[in-house]
Amino acid sequence: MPNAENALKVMLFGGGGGGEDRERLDAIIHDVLEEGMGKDEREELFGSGLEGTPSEGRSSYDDFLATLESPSAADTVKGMMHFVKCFYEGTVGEVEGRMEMLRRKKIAPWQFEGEENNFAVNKEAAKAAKMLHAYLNLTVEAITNHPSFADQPPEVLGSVLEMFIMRKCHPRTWELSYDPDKDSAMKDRLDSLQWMNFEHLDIKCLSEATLRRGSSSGGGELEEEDGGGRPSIESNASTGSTKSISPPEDLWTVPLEALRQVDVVKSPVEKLEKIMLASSSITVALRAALEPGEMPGADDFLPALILAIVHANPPRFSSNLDYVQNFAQERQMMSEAGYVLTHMFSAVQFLQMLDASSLSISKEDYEAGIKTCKEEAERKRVEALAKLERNKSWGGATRGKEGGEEREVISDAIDPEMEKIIKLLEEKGCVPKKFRPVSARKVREMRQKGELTENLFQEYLANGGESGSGERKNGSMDKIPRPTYRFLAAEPSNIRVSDIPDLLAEYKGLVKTVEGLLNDRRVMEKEKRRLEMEKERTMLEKRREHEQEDSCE
Amino acid sequence: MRLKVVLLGEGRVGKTSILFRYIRNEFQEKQQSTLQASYMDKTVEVGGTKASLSVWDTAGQERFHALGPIYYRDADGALLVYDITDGDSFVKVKKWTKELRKIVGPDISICIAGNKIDLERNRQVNEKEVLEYAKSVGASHFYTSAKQNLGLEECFKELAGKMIKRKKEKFGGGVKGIGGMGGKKGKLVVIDDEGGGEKKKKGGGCC
Repeated sequence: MPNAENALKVMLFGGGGGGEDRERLDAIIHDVLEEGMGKDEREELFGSGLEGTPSEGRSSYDDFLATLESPSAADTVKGMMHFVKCFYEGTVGEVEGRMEMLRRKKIAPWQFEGEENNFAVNKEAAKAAKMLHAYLNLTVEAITNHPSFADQPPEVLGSVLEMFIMRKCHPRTWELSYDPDKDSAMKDRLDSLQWMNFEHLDIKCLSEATLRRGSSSGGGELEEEDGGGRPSIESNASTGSTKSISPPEDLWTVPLEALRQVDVVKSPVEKLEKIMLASSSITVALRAALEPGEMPGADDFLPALILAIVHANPPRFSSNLDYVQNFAQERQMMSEAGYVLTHMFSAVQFLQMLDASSLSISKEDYEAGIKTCKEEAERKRVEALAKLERNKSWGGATRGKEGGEEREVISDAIDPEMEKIIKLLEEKGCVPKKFRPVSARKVREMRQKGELTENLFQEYLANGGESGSGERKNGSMDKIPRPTYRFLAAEPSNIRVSDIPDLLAEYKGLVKTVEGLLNDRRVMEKEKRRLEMEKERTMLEKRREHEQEDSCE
Repeated sequence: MRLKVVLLGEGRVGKTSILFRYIRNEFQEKQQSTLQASYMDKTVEVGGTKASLSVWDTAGQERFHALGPIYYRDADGALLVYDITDGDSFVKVKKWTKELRKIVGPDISICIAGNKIDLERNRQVNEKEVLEYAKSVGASHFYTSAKQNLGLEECFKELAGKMIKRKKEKFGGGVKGIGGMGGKKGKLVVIDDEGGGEKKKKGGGCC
């Protein structure tokens, strides 16, 4: 699979690079892809058509969408729309009733009776997951036998269907897994641990210190391991020097990027795929650093994963893990994916419990490290706040410090039409709750005073919809909720009839905003022109006066 | 039937070697995971019953000790590995056994492996003590050498046999476990298996 090989290379090294290390790494990649990895595994890493190499993967999903568009699949689409609608409306009974009906008609085998997702974080999520999985299971059975989908293999269909439905249901399923407090606690923790490196967890093969020690003191450590401490591909591989290369920076960035991507993709199957990529790229990095033929076990893998999580500082990581736990299907959690996900939870728990005694570091150094990182985080927070302050003073707005008082002022004058739109968007999970627009009265007052209103809006957005900066909890910019424009990347083919109210609401909201801004600008420009003309007029008058004076003389 | 086995043992006793050696020898053609040497899936057949083993390697360093339950709380079996040339590693095995019995209960099948038997001359761990201990906690004991590929096959087979027997006793005929992720005890769901092959009730070869 040359495509896969190239994809992995590009992923690992980007474009450039060269030299001996590069050759060695090439060999590893080759080994990993061609010999070390069975077909199943390659599919796991690169996906089986669906999650596959970028080009293959897209086409599978696109094929599916294309099929949905065809008139022959109209019944399927209708069924899906109905399900998604019921899912959002929470009319579980209706969905269950429909599935019960299908079951009686023996349209598809029913296997999910009474089986709850025991691992889900909360009951509601378990219920939603049960509903989704039952529906997916049923539907995949149904569409496998559907003539329109005949050209797509059932296992691919299962995955694309899941991706499709899970993307549609994402706002709701995410809401059930999202725990901002847990995430912000995790982020604070990771922020304060940024000083950690390979040595603190004794990841010997990845630390620079070992390289130095290894070349000076020979194979002292190795002899101890001869009895089988480390497995070898060739039985005589563990003789010789301990010379090994540390992973190039590039190699270590792949798992970090993969971990951050977990938050970006939407469906559980895609998130799991990123988690697996993180795992396999950590293994690649470890293998590159180990002796040729040595295999990294859990003793190497777990500490490396912990460090990768610290270095990556992935956004909303806890919620993402919970989301996967809640909504990934049982068959996906079996085998290696379940194992890797368990390692993720375990790494997170380790990081949460961590103190100086868990690391190879003195108590003083540990506390100093934490202190420095906390100060750094605090500095960034203050900087962000200062930036906001600056914006505020440019706007020249005088605002009350009490958040509550401010909100009252705002809420009494909201355009009822806008209120309705926002409410609809909130219900659909498109905008965070409490996302209230700035009151018209406030804007009017400011305009009457001749103040600029753009900053008011920006500040309001930056405050996550709350007025007044005093309420900001964590100060980090990436936690700011913003309205999500769900249809920004949508193709006409993705949009269902039931999306129209949302789409319209989004459109109206945007038009309102744009109109408001344009109006502001018009007012401003008019005012500016007026001032200029006035200035000109005074100048002209002055000149005339001068001329008159001159002529008098 | 799906069975989950955790591999526990202090760092450097050779857990990963055992796993890797077992994969290499047994599974050369169909190996699933060379990329990740810490996990493997393998189908075994004991006494006419086929079972799919998922073997989970765990990190053995002391600093990760508290994370143990995350890995073993829904396991069907555990392979506890110590190094016969390292007395401390056997002390750790005792600690794990206690924990497993306390947290997972009597349902988990335990097998103890004294690894590095090729280094018999450096033996530190008393054989009599080990065998008596194993007997007292209802565990089987094997000597293994990942280096010379001794005892591994027998060890896994024995463990698989014990787990299969235990599951059959608990659930009767066709049994399917919800393998995978951490859950509490008793998460196994009995479903009639369509394959049918697993319904045969036959005594597995175990002690």
